[in-house]
Amino acid sequence: MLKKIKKYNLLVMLLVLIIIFGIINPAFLQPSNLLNILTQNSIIGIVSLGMTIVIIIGGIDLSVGSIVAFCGLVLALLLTLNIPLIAALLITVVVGSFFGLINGVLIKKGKIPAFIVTLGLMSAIRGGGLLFSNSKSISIGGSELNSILNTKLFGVSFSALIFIVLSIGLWYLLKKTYWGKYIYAIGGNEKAARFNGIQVSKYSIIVYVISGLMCGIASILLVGSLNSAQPQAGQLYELTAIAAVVIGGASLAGGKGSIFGTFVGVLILGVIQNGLSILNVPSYYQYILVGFIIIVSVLIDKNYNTK
Amino acid sequence: MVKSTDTILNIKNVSKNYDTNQVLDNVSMSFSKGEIVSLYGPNGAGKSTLVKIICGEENADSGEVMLNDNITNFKSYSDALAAGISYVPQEGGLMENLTVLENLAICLKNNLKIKNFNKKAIRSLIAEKHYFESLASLLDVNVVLISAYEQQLATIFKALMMDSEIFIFDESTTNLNPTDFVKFKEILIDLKKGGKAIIFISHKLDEVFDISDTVTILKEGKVISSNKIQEITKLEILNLFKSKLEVDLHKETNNLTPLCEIQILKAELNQSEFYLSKGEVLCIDSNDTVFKYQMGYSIYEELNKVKGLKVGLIPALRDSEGIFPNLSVEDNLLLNVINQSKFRKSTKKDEALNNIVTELKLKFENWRQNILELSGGNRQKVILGRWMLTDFDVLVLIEPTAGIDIESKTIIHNLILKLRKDGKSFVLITSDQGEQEMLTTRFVSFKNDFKEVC
Repeated sequence: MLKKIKKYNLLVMLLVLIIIFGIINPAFLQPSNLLNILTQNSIIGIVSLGMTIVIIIGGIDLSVGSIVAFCGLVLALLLTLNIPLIAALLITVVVGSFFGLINGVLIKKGKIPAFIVTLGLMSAIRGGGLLFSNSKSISIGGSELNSILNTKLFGVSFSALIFIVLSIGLWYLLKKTYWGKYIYAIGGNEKAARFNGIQVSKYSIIVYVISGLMCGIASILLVGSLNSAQPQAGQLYELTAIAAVVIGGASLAGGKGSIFGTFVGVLILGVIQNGLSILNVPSYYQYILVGFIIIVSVLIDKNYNTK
Repeated sequence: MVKSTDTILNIKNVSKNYDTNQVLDNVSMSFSKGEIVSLYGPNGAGKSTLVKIICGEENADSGEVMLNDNITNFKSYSDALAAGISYVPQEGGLMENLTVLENLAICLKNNLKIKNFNKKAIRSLIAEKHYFESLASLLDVNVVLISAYEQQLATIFKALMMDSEIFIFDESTTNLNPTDFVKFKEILIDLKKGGKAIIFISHKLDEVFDISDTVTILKEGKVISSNKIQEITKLEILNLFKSKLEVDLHKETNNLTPLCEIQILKAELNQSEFYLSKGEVLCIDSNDTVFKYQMGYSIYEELNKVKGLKVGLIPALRDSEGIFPNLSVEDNLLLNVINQSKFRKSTKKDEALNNIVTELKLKFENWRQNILELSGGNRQKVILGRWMLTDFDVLVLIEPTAGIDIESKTIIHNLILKLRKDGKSFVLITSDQGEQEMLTTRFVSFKNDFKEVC
């Protein structure tokens, strides 16, 4: 019962925000604007999905923003070299997954704390991207990719659809497969997981690979929507993603969190940003409000947990 | 009820509910200076909740706790400590990343309000206490590196250094061996002579009879009796809980088929080699508790390398090594079989789960309930049940019944005996003499550097 209240809690928060913004400015409530929020946040949303499972196993991934930027540059470069779109997309997600693999192996096999490893890779990958792009953006012109991403299905953009499909996919993985149970078990008690024969390293590394993969996919949407790749893209993605995951009810200690929560968390952040921009409120108010929401949502969560 | 002029702590009509579950039902009792009172009863009887209320860690729904005729109103344990109540919990209580000495220093500094408190001063303070001898060599070692048993000693000593008036030991002796228990008893008798009040909780009835002046029995949140120790016998207490072993103990060791050889190559474990047969309980024994536990974990690792052998482990520390605190009862049980397709069909799954519940007499409210809402004994049953669902060949048991009540203990013992008859093998490591005698079919004991096989 309490769990249900907690789930609704988050939805109530989202609805209250939507209603408040709607009352102040009815333009906010137009379906096109609401769908726009989903589209605008699909990139950070996909990154947050990967971050969710990383946080559930008790880890952290600070390198997401740098991986998004790097993968974007790789994709743009490949497209300017006239490599077939499908091949370019595949290579992009492989590069993202590969960075995730490096993270996972260093953390689990090298036994270095996740914070340190991903902080290191955040800096190194950003530097690598700047190096190979000569710190210039790479334009891909009016590409095939852009027109695909602009297609709409029942009024929903392709980006938003990908975000929704990936959310459902990861939700299924976490809630309906033994794989997901193992992830929760490792996050809850790694020692006990080991004593029950769960291959902790293997599953943890896979989790980081998935996080890298999500960054690769996010970079495709980013490059497609901007028609170019920026070496400075994706700055502060890690913090926004962590914020969305935490608002969604995850615990940085591991073992707790859900895709549903993160999905709503992403929307809460998106609604605040969109709503305040429509009202022409300066962006520093956004920061204040977001900070407030992060702390309040964890506070509510804690109080429900300790009865 | 024992009433005397020396009464220091009085509990009056205390009741406590968790949701719909009544944990304490109008409990009254009193504790006097210079008296050792044991609280005895199955898990879930309310003993731990009662002492937590005394220590300010929980609030009573009704009733009051009176210290020296004043109603206490502790907000947390630190208030209770300041008022002269020391509490030793079963697990935890030490900061793992600090050394033993630093742990003591922090505790002493917060509570004794001594200025200029440096390591030298603490060392000399510790040197005055004779009981610290056994830990002297470990003072500068990080807590995480010392054994569960040494941690327990350190926690007890830490409490003893507070010059409290009341000492509460909640399952503090589970990891102590008989020799240490004798020392522990001497310390308690010293405290008693010094006019301190002592509340002692243990599931080991022998300890209770060895140590206490009064034994108060709790069952389902109610005090059912309170007697001077001379006025009651162990048998009378056991009869209150109606527990008997259902299986008779034939120790037929003939006709055993050898299962595998175990080779332990670690130098610190004497590079030992022994065999394990089908359907036996092999007890690994040593007077060195740390050594014994390490053997257990190493045997588990070694057996895991044997191809085609399914091996399980019940680790020594139930809460920090056994359960998944973020998962439900169902998920905790199913974890090891969840990757098998037959457990995805709900009918098969429910049937298997219900079997486990009946066999283990598992007490819980619903499958989605968090494991932490279960009592210690039921948590341990879940860990055993988790392995029962798998088709294991060997189960390594390290202290399988430490700190759990007599009813759960009997259930677990009966199950092990039954599974053994079905041809399962066990490796047992325990500090419980009775358990060892009851279950074991063959011993491998280690004494200093020699291995003796009997």
